[in-house]
Formats: sequence, C-alpha cells, structure tokens
Amino acid sequence: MSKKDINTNMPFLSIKDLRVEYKSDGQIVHAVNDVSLQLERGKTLGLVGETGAGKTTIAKSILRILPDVGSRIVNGEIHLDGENLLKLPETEMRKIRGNKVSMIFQDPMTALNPVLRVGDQIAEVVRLHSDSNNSAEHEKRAKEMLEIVGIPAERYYAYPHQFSGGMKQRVVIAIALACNPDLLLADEPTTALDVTIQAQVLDLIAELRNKYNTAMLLITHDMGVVAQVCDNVAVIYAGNIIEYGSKEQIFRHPSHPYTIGLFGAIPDMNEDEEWLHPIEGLPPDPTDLPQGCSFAPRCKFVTDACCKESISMYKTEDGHDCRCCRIAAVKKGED
Amino acid sequence: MPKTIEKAKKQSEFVRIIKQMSKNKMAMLGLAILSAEIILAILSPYIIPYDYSHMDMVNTFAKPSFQHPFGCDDMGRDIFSRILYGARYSISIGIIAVGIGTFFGCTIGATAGYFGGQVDNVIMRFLDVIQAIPGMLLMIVISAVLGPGYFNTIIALSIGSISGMARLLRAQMLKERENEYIEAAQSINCSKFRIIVSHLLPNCISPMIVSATMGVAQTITVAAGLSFIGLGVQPPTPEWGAMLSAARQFIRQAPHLVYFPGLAIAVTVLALNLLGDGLRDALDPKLKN
Repeated sequence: MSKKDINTNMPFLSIKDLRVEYKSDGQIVHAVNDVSLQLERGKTLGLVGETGAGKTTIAKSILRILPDVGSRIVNGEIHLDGENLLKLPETEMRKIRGNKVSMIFQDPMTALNPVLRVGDQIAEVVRLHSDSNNSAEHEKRAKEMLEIVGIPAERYYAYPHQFSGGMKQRVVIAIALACNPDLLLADEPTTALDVTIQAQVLDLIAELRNKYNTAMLLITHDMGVVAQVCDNVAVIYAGNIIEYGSKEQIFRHPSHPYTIGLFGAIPDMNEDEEWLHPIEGLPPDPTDLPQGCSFAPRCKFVTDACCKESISMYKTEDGHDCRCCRIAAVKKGED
Repeated sequence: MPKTIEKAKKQSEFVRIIKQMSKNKMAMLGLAILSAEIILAILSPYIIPYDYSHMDMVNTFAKPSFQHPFGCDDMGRDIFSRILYGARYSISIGIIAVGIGTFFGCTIGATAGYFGGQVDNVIMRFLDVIQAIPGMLLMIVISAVLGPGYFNTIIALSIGSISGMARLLRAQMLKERENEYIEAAQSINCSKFRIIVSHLLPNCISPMIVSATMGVAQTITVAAGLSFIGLGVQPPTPEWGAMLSAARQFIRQAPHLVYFPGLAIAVTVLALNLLGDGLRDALDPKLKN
C-alpha cells in the first residue's frame, strides 16, 4: 500500500535529471541534459525549442522507444503515477505503451502504415490492450474513435493514401486516444498541417483532453500553438530546460535571454519591419557543448561567470524559473 | 458516392488484387496460360494419349502428325504425352524451390533488416560468401553432393535462391523501418515479431512476390539446365530440361525433339513473367482507385 502514499505526494508525471545520449560515428551526442519537469493530470505542458533541442527524445524516453542501437538513457528517473518507468521490466512497460501513455506523431504522412486499413490500425491498439479476443468489439471501438475525431465510420475500410493530411492526422490522434490514455505525448501534432486544419486539430485535441482529463505534453516550436493550448511552458535549449513557467508568465515576462530572443524574432504586424530579428549564431554542437551556460556563446549578457560552471534554476516569480545567472541584468536590459 | 463506399467495404485484399489484375490483359494471359498448364499437369495421367514411357520403335523420330501431335522421340515415345506429364515436374520444381527459398530468404532478410547492427553484419557477410560463388556453380555443387533426383534438385535450387531473396527483403526492410509508422507501432506496444510480420512485411512483400513469380520462371530454366548437364531429374522422367538434354544429339535429324520441350519452357517462363509484372502493378496500394 506504500504505492498509494507515493501517489498522493507526487505529481502525475515527474521527470528528474533525465540525461540521454546518442552515439554516432564514435561521437557522443548529448541530446538531453538533466531535464526535470512535472505535469499534473488534466494539464498541458508545452515543450518549446528549436529543432534538435531534444524535445522528441524526451517524449520517446518516457515511452522507452528510443532506438535500440546507439541511444542510452544515462541517468534520471521518470515517475508516472508513482512508478519509475525507467526501472519497469519490459513486460510491465508494454502495458503502459499505447494504453496509459500514448504518442501523436509529427508527420501524419508517414505515421500510418500505408498497406493497412485505417480502421484496422486503430483496432490494433485496442486489441493489443484488451483482454478479449472479440474482434467485432475492437472494430466497433475503432469506428467509435473515427466518429469522435470527425471521420465517418464508413471510412474504416479506407487506406491512408485515400485520406488528406488533416484526416490522416485525425486517424493518428484516434489511435493515440483509443485506449483513453492518462498521458498524451503530442510531438508537433500540427507541424505538417496548414493553419485552418491546425486550428481544427488543436481544438479536437483540447476537447478530448478536457473530456478525459488527460495530461498532455505538447512538443512544438510554434509559439502560437503554445498560446492556444498549453497551461505551462518549458523552453528547451540544447537539451536543457532554460525557462519554465505558466503560459502567462512566459509570454508576459520572458526572462531568459533566449526566450526573449525567441519572442523578439516574431515579426510585429503593426510595424513596418523589413528585417526579422533572429537570435545571432547557431545552437551549439550537441557533441561538444560549451561549459557553463550552453546559450552563453550567443548571449548579449554573457559574463565570465556564465562560462565557468553549469547554471542552476533561479526563481523569478512563484512558479517561474529561469536558468540564467544574470536575470537582474537581463531584466534591466543592460549589456 | 455512398455506393462506392459500401462497395469498398469488407472487400478482401485478395479479391481486390484479382480485380485490379483483371484489368491487365497481359497479366491475365499469363495467368490463363499458367493455370491451363497446371490443370493439364495435374490431369496429365488421365488425359495423355500414350504412356510417357511407352516406347514404339516403329515411330522413332516420327514427325508431328494426328497420332502424335508433337511427334515422337528417339525411342518412339510420344512427345506430347511426355511434355504434359513433364509439366508436373518442371512447374512443381520451380514453385516448391522458390517457395522454400522465399521462406528462408524472408526469415533471414527480415532478421537482418529489422535488427540491423551486428546481427545484420554477421548475416550479410555470410550471404556475401555464398553469393560470391556463381549461382549455377553453387547449384551444380549442391546437386552433385546430394546426387540427382527430384527432391535433391529442389533443395539445390532453393538454397541457391535464398541469398538473393534475403538481400532483397533486407534492403526493403532497411528502407521501411525508418518510417514513423514503425515508431508509432512501437509506441502502441507492438512486439518486435508483430512489427516485423504485420507492419513491415506487408510493406515489403510486393517486390518479393514479383521477384518470386519471376524466380519460378528462372528456376524452371535453371532446373532444365541442371537436367541438361545430367544432374537434376534423371531420364526417363520426362522433365523438360532432361528431354532437351536427351534430344540435343538429334538436333540435326529431328529438330522437333528440341522444339517442343524448349517451347514449353519458353511459354511457361513468359507466362510467369507476364503474371509477375501484372502482380507488381496490382500489389501497389498507391495504384488502387
């Protein structure tokens, strides 16, 4: 019964000091470096960051579907409902994948198997997690899911290539939600879609999340999507969370120079701007991360102290943390 | 529109492929020829006009006539009867050998392609060694070691086709497993076996089926080749290659002894190739309407 006790004091999902490495051509790629985050039931956390910042790797680590060859979870703990997923035996993990935790994939064009009927692909996840062998029941559930995501049940027998991109993404969502997961990992669910379909899909995800009280980890690099869907935001840079706070805090008072730069790069529609304002420089090479703050080489506020040792999280407001030792200076805008 | 949806409902994959293929005239021709040959081969003991080993010394080297549509060979045996009966051997050798070769090739190729890394390395280097031996030579060696005969020929031919099949499937697997739907399948908790069998194989199978169909054609010719050089199925069994082999010394006096078995091989191989082409088109889900 000690499990129950843990459940009460621990958040629903808690990741602690997660560190993941890939090995490629003899070099070690530091994809995720000591990431810690928490997520409550029914809430949505947005993981924002550039391509290659390690967002997807975090999601895959939770499901433990990192590639067998070449990747390694060096250390860390991932607690879901009080259980450390990284310590679970594979047989236990299999009950979680697709059932308790499920994932929406980035590219609907390739996330569906082209030679299987869409309905069968939804029914598959139902079958894999159901005790009964009654395939009519699984089919019924799959048709129900199709209707829920707004596709007529007759299309059960269609193949993915007969669907448009938006419909495919709906099917991917239907697969992810078919077992009513407690945690949904949405990996850039709208990147491949155009804006109108994006809005529909986001509404759909939000609606289903509210209906089933699902916790969601939304991975994106689109601030607009974050503004629409998330409760909390974690900004990731070079495999590390550099700023964490509620959506309002991050949007109103971005504190880390990187986050400020991100918002600065969004063009202002009210002003006649000829040039965008990108953040100078490139993200650091993940095989050779700089010492100290990984953003230091691109930062305007850099001092010697930034480059010496790793920076810890500083609290700027209640529930708003920032990994920068020059917060005060940044706030004033001094150089 | 709703009507077409109703129609598309529950239509089995097999029916769909047949339908798709029925639009392709050449493939249907191939299928028709092949089915006719198989039916004739099965029924041959009941329909052949003469026993395949019945010798009629009066009619040696007889030209084609009403009594003997394809003429008679050097021992006065009716060539028509021998070819019909020989279809049993030639076609079954082709199909069974390719079937066995495809099965093992698929198992090996799928293992190498899915697991990759060291597993792949070990398997592929082994296949490299086998493939370094010329195919015909390998089969000659195997059938020389095993000795001639129907089953030994099948074993020799199937071993020869394993590495090509394995290679083909491995390449397909390597390409397909990078797709996101494989990750998606992992994320909903499919076992490795399930991912290979029900997600990867169906996506890799069309080139395998095409190559197997054409492989049957090739195997028939190679089997004929083995018989020709005295390995493989032995006379008096009327295997087509063995017939060709026996007839070659009379090619000047009685060319019809060579024509008909040769023609039988050529027509079968052509039919199989037409069928293989049609299957390739029919199996591609993107060409569906």
